[in-house]
Amino acid sequence: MSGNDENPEIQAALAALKQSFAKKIPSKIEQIRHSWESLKAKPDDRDWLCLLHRQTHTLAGTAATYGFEGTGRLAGKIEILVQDALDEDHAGWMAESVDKIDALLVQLEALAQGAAEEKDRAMKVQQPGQATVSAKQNKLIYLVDDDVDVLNAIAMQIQTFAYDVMAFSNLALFSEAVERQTPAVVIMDVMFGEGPKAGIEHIARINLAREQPLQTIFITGSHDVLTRLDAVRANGLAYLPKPVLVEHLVETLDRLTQQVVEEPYRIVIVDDSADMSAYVSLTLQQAGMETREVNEPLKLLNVLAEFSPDLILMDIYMPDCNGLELSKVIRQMDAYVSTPIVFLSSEHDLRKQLGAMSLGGDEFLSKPIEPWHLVSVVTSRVRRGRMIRKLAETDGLTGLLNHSKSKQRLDIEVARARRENTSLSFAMLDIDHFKHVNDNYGHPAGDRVLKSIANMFKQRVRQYDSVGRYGGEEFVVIFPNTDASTAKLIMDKLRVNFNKISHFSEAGEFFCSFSCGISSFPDFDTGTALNDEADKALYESKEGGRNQVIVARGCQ
Amino acid sequence: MQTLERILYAEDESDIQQIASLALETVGGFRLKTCSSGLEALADIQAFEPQLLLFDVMMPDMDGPSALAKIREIDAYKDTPAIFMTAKVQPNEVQAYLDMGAVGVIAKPFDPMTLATEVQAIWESVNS
Repeated sequence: MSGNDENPEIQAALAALKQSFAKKIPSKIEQIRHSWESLKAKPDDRDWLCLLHRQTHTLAGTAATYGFEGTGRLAGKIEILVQDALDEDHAGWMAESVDKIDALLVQLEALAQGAAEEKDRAMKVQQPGQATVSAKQNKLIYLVDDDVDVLNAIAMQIQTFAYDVMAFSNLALFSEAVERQTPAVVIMDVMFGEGPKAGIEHIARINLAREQPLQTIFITGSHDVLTRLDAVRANGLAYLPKPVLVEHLVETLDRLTQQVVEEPYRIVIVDDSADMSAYVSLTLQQAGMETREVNEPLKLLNVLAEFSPDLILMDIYMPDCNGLELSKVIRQMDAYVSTPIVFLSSEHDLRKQLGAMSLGGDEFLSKPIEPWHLVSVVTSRVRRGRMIRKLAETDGLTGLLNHSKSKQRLDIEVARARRENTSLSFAMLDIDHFKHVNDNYGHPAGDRVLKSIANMFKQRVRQYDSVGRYGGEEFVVIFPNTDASTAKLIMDKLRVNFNKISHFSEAGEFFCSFSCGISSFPDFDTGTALNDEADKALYESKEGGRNQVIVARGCQ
Repeated sequence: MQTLERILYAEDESDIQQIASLALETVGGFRLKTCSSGLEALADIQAFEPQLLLFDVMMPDMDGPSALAKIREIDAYKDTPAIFMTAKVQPNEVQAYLDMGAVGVIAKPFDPMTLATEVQAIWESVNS
């Protein structure tokens, strides 16, 4: 086993694993923070205490194994403090520990922030296409247009979305500014006095001298394909027609500047040979994916429900039931109609391969297969699959789950709560006097309110809570493993917070509130009942004066 | 001495599973069957016929020590060497695991580059 330290393949695999773990650290700490805040709000709740203990224990062990010793040490210190509360009688513990844990958690968060940047610099060579974390947090936008009216109008609008905007009316000033500091995104007009495509040509020239091209959005009055092509060649990431719709522009900016931590791809491997599935599994894991191996095909359906994979890799010839039959079964289930199925088999007969596709497969790969080939097929299938699913399941304006997906998710979570014998809460809320907002401040302002509430929820609820837009100004939140009184606590906190957000419009600054109704499982034990009762409670809170949260009668 | 090839590994945390797989399969060259709980380990043991058991201590459903006790009831595995992995490695804690029938305890966090050597060393000490 000597000499492994220098083995470049192992080092690369280890580096890839470490990198994918590093990306997960912030969300792990966020979960710890959430449990801690919840415990502070309800110091007698042993569930939060146990959860906090498990989370810190796990992070202490995993982080150090992956080489993040500082993170592991801090998590370990918190774990020991929490352990005390578990071991002994609790009284007085909170008062003694609150400052210590608060301080440790702040250190942990600061360390994770620093580590992420450190890691990203170190890994830059491997991921040339990705901007660094620090660049993504940079919300500096350079806006270039020689039409001063357009310039001011756009600049003012984007600023309300918490971007720092510097506006330039000529290309020379812009070039100087880029020399001094690289912006997160450049918004560039195409036509200038210098020529009809001067904006594109200018960006192309600047990019020639740069290691990483500027992230650029072009705005233009011209619609012809050749100009678009030039924009793409100058590394333009988006191309928006004038007059520019601000919502559209902000959405694009959000996408380019947000730090999106993508979940690892989840792949199920169905093969009766444990050797084969282990090999495939390792190959995919080394590319940063999560895998489950199923060696008895009949167990696949259980794994699908529990793991909800992005893609299924399936052998064709297996005992009990073959891959073709199995894929037909999968395709008959609504939930998996669009899950890609890739066959992996030693079948070389093209006609049989095509036959396999007609039964619901998406691709056919022949064994033996090179690791890079496998990884690249799986990656492109999953990426496209996720994109399509996202479009079908989310609301375009807010990026939250849409109505039908929200209902579906509620049913799934109710089933899970029943199976695991846990609680669940369902909140339905509605922005107060929203029609008044639209009438007085205009629809763009109304849309911004909807987006701001969506963003607030996305940032403030736990990773496993689900937020959906039911329609109009109505939203829902599903809190698994949470009773009604805890859900009310959380929603009240969010309600107060939302009330503080100031919204801007041309007619002036204004504030909004929301009313909310909550129902919970097992007091109401179907998705429909939860929905109806939350709706009634919402109605009650509207009738009772708005800007409040009411728990449905009959809920604990 | 018999060469160590097949290890049944139980660990609930997928991050640890991944890095341990790399450490034991890619670095160490062992064949690994990975399970996410003690229950899964019980379900998989007969088909895999492991020569060595490597169990995390804290797992949901069924923890490492309970899983080992159950496995000891199966005749073919009543003597299969078992190693626990845990963050609790005070001398009295280690002794408690050895009393439960483990032949070794590996401390968490572990170094992925040397984990396989550690396992191999315990294997050799048992078989010598």
